[in-house]
Amino acid sequence: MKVIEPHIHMIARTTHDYERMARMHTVACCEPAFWAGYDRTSARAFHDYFTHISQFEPKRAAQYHIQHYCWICINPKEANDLSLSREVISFIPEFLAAPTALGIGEIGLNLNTKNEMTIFEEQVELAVKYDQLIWIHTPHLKDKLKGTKMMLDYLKGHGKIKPERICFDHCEEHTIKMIRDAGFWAAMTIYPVTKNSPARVVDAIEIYGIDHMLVDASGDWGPSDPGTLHDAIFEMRKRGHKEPVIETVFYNNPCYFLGQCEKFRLTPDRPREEAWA
Amino acid sequence: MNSFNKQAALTPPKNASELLDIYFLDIRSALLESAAALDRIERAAGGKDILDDPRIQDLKRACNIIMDGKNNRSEQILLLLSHPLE
Ligand SMILES: [Zn+2]
Repeated sequence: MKVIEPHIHMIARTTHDYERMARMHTVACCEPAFWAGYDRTSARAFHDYFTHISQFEPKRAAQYHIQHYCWICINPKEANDLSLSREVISFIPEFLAAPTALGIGEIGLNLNTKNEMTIFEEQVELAVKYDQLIWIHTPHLKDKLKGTKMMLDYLKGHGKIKPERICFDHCEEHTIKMIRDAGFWAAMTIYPVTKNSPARVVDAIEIYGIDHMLVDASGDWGPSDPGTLHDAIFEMRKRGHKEPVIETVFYNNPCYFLGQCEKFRLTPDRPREEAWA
Repeated sequence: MNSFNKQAALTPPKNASELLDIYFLDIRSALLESAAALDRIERAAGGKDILDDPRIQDLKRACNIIMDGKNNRSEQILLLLSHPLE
């Protein structure tokens, strides 16, 4: 079975992680632009970072036959400085042209501040202008519910948004329903201490069904592991779910969402009408 | 709304008794870890007063949801632990 990792920060991982992912049948991974573990001191630092995730990581991944894709944006953790954010936004289009850039992301909210929301809205406009897919970071812990609702209300009232082209990430039990009811994609991140465990991810798939659902391991600087995505696959097998259903969640669904960008080169093994029937 | 967005639940292939066999030891372990962590905090210096910490109060409310809740216990606990929507 082939696996796609829809959200992982490979800049924070070792080459050994690529090797492990390859052994676990991961054929592609996607790296949204995010925080570097510290606040960058200038817009040029973001320029270098975007170069890293759009040029260096695809080469490193290719050694293990893994396709590496990226998303470009100014992330919500560093979006409180409006002038720095706008300087970064000014050169985002240059990177959207990269052959592996799938869209704008991960934009969103961190502490639900007014400035974060302003920069979120400006980047949604950029995505509309350049007809890009959007990958959304929802806040952590106590802030998640309110921040998710703020972004959802904004997008529902926008008028030019196609929910099918937007995925909300880091969803948990209290946010999944509102996102899917509005027609957006919902991704669940396995991050055992502060987000989901493999078992809770599979619970949500059982409760809500497999359509418009993605699962990712979001390996980055915190306690996390690319292997947890594969733990969720094993969890589904342990509960007796059938292989085609598992394959749809971990391979076909990412193809259906990411394949809306013509640069994504993998194809699903069957049409979604059939996979979701 | 997209026509594919059926939101159809996936029927668990195993029955409740089989699932209890699989998860009983995990649940037992998670409860023991929680109990031991609270004991650890309580027996340290300042342990008596810490029980009034709002985080401990939230955890006690979460325990009540585990005891009394039905069907969506994890969602109820997450809502309890969220900043309220205005
Ligand atoms: Zn991320």
